[in-house]
Amino acid sequence: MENVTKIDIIGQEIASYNEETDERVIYPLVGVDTFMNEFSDTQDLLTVNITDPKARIVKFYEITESIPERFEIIDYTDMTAGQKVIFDEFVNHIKAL
Amino acid sequence: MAEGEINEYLVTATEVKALSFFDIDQYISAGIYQSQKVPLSVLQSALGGGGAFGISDATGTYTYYDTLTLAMAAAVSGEVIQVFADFVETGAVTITFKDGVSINGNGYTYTLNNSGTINAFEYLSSGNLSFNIHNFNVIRTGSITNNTTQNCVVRLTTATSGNIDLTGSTFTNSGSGAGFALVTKIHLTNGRAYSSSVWGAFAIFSFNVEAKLTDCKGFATGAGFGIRCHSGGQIENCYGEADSGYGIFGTGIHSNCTGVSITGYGYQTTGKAYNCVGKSTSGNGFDITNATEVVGCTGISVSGVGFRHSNKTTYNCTGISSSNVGYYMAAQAVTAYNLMSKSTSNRSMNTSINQSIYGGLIISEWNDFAGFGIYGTYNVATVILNCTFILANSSAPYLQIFTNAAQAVSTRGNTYKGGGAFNPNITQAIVTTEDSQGNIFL
Repeated sequence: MENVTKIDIIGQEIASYNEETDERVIYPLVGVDTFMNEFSDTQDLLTVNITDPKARIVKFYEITESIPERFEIIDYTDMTAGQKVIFDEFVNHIKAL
Repeated sequence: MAEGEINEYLVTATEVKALSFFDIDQYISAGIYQSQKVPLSVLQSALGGGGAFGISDATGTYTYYDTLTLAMAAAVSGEVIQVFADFVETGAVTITFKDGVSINGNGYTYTLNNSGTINAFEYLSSGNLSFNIHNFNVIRTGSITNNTTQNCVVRLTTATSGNIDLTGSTFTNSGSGAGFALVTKIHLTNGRAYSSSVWGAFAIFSFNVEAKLTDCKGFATGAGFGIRCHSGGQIENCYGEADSGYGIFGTGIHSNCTGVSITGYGYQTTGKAYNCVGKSTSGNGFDITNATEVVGCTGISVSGVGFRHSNKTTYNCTGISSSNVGYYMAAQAVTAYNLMSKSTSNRSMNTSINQSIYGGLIISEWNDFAGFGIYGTYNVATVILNCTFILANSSAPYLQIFTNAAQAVSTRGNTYKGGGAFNPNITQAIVTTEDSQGNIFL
């Protein structure tokens, strides 16, 4: 999805969104082991914002009735150099799908 | 009956009234027996080699039928077809309902497993169609075609009136088509349907408001829709749930309904919605597109937009999101009265060109400079009256345009708390002054 603006990883699916055009494409959660090993843990939902409101990862835990009990934000600017590479490669991978 | 086994039976009201029971001694162990009462219908079916379906006469004596088709053919209005066993039909058989003929499934399941394009149950005649289907599970499986007319579990067309109560019954399409499809003026109550079709676990393909669902629940898997109001109709106190499809979708008149989706829209209305709720984990909670009246509705999402306002006017609507904007006024020239927008980790609202907000509570809990109150993807709304802004970051602008361009906005009666200094690029567009009684022309 070339013009992806937001990526959600939930269960065994990757949901890619172009929020400007309201498009959505679902992919299976395969081929992204490096990204998952680096950023994923026990969250129910992992969201990747590419630029809007800023480049970041948001992880949500214990979601009930569309309300998470807690969440964690990892801003791109706070990532290590290695994490930034993994983040960028993941986004480019989704754009190429 | 196995030795030592105490059996349980579902008993019909007719049997209770007629005291149609027999005492049967159950062997427990050597010399020990236990008596239990067995319904006459069960005994008759077991001893007489009767079919899985039966119709009782006035004395409580049953006539049995090997197929539901035969039972339905024999039944007359006012009678109830009792189901005494699970039944699998593999032929190209569609059961046609009759007005006044009810089915009591007694918890058993009727399955149509056929690769053709037929519906399991249908009604194609005119006139009234009223009956009950209680405690009956119906499954349509084995099909591959998915459209609006074929392979439904139930499809009702052309009846001009009627009420069907579905208490305790489920309608499952594990093949390709819709669950319970309503194409005519029938009022369904208390049903549950399951499907993976985009045409819906429950589907209304009628323009008439008499096509109505009350207290019904539709569950969809995959890309299927929980409830789809394709052409019109009414839904009240209904619930639709989906994986990647829409929880509830469509036109008509909706009230007090809830739509839930994981990655799709929780709720999208293109008609009228009153006091409805849409929830999504990843998609948008509530979306209105070409809707005609939306009052008191709420959208909640974790990573999607809480409430996406794509046309017309909303009244007393709420959008809540954890990581996206709470309320998104996406189309030009739309108006919101008394909205509530809240985001936990994003700006509170998005707005666009020539929009108006008359009253609102606008909250961003994101302690970041980008935790704006209202963000203009092109412009901020041109009229913002009587709103309260509550921001978490002391530098965040209450109103911000994406290019930080200048714009004149009619703002009046607003309260600002927690954010930064008022954006100097936003200027006042109101040129009139209030009269001595405090009135003002805009």
